[in-house]
Amino acid sequence: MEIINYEYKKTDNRDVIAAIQPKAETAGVAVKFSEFKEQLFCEIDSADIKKFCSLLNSDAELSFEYIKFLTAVDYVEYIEMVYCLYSFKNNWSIIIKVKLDGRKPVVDSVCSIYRGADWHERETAEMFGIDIMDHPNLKHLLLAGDEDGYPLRKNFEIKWEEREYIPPEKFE
Amino acid sequence: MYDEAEILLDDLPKDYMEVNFGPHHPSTHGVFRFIAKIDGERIIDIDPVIGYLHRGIEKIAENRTYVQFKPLVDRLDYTGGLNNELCYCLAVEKLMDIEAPPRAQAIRVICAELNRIAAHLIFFGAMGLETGAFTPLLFGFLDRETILNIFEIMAGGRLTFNYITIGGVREDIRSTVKTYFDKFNKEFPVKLKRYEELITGNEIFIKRLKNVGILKKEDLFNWGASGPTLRGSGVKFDIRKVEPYSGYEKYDFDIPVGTNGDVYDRYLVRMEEIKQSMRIVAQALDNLPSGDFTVKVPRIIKPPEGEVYVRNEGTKGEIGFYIVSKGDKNPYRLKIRTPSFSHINMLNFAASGNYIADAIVILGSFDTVMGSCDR
Repeated sequence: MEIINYEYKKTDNRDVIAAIQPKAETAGVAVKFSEFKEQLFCEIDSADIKKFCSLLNSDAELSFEYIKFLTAVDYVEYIEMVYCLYSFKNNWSIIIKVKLDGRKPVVDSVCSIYRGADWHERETAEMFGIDIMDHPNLKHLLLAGDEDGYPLRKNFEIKWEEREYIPPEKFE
Repeated sequence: MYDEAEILLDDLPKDYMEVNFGPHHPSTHGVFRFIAKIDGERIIDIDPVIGYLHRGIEKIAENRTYVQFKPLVDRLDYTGGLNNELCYCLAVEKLMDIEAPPRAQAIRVICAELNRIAAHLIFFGAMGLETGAFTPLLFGFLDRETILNIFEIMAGGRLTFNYITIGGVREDIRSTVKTYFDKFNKEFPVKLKRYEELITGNEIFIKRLKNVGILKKEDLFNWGASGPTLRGSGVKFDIRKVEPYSGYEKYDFDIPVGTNGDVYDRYLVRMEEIKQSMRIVAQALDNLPSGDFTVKVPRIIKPPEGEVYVRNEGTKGEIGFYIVSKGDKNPYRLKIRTPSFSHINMLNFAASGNYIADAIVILGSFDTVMGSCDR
């Protein structure tokens, strides 16, 4: 196996935008870029996520081959899916955001593109109650499946079991 | 005659056996269970079952303040608690636009690297145990004990420290740390060489590890593997070098890489990393900058609105915190990305087609910790 060396590379978010924008336009994906603390956020429509991810992954110049994680955030009115991708070749990071309907969240699986997304999607599905379409094996991962509601939604409250303190019986 | 027998064998219904493994098995490194479908001695399919150590840390974080949550971070990957703390503090600092003073950064590097050595020594011991040797476990834990004693002087704790704080470290480094570390630095390389003679060059050990569980880098990228697992397959990628944090760019150290991508390479990478970490700690202790060990931070930490993802090179791979703040004293959402989660996800891919005994070795080579996998 040959050794590939990755070293510190100064990156500019404008380069990333310039590289992604024309390719996304030809693929027919509308991307809204924003920046925060040197991080690049891409907001896209929920129907385009699979198309956009496969574009980023398969394109030789972009080569976003690595998924750091994916998760969701519950904003009560809507749920936001967050995909964090990384390109080894260019040392680029992007965070993709997708808005889903809060009452009936449905999103396509990216598992066929990033196999590492498998468990992250399963975890997100059970924690937020998101229906992930075309996932090969969408069963419970961390939870037992007997809790009412979805734990990481904002309307799920932690229940504390109140227990009465019973002093130990005194020995005579 | 022979042909007939072959036809007969083909007609027989193929019956696979399902073997349950764990959750209390010692070589699963914690409470991890998998159901292996086996054909004779070979594994066809692995169905991992996790969640036995799920504590809902991400939900607890939403109900606690930033400072209150910090002690829990140690409990994720409990072999490398300071690395987790460092990452969490860096994330909150990035949100709040504060930077730790140079002295605190150097102390943080010392902590993180010493903890890396301690974690890799556990790996060294466990790897021996997995291949049937008990001695490395005792050796590994003996030297780890010396590091834990240094931690006790530094932070007052041995496994769960709560030492690195938002804005610096809790207290200044004591002068005895250098004395203890110098003693350790003198003795340990000699010992390490002896251990390597005992284990690394051992013929049985090599036969068990070499050409087992070979992983290609394209697959590792796709599965989200990181850390020594990735480096074992010839990818010279280290977050300490590529995205330097906490002043890592000041230190001189090498990134060991494997060439074959098998379990043995992953083992060698970790053993070499121990030596490199020793180098970093020695450099950091020699050139410790003077000044404050913490910056002034507000008593109630309220980061402004926004979201950040900060990652660093943990002991097992990329550990990261994604924090969404709405300007409150609690995080609105906190997601923890842990290397063990991604690596156990990969287990079916990596271990299928191997012998049962090799599957244990492959799982051991990822050096997973269930506390960090289940969260």
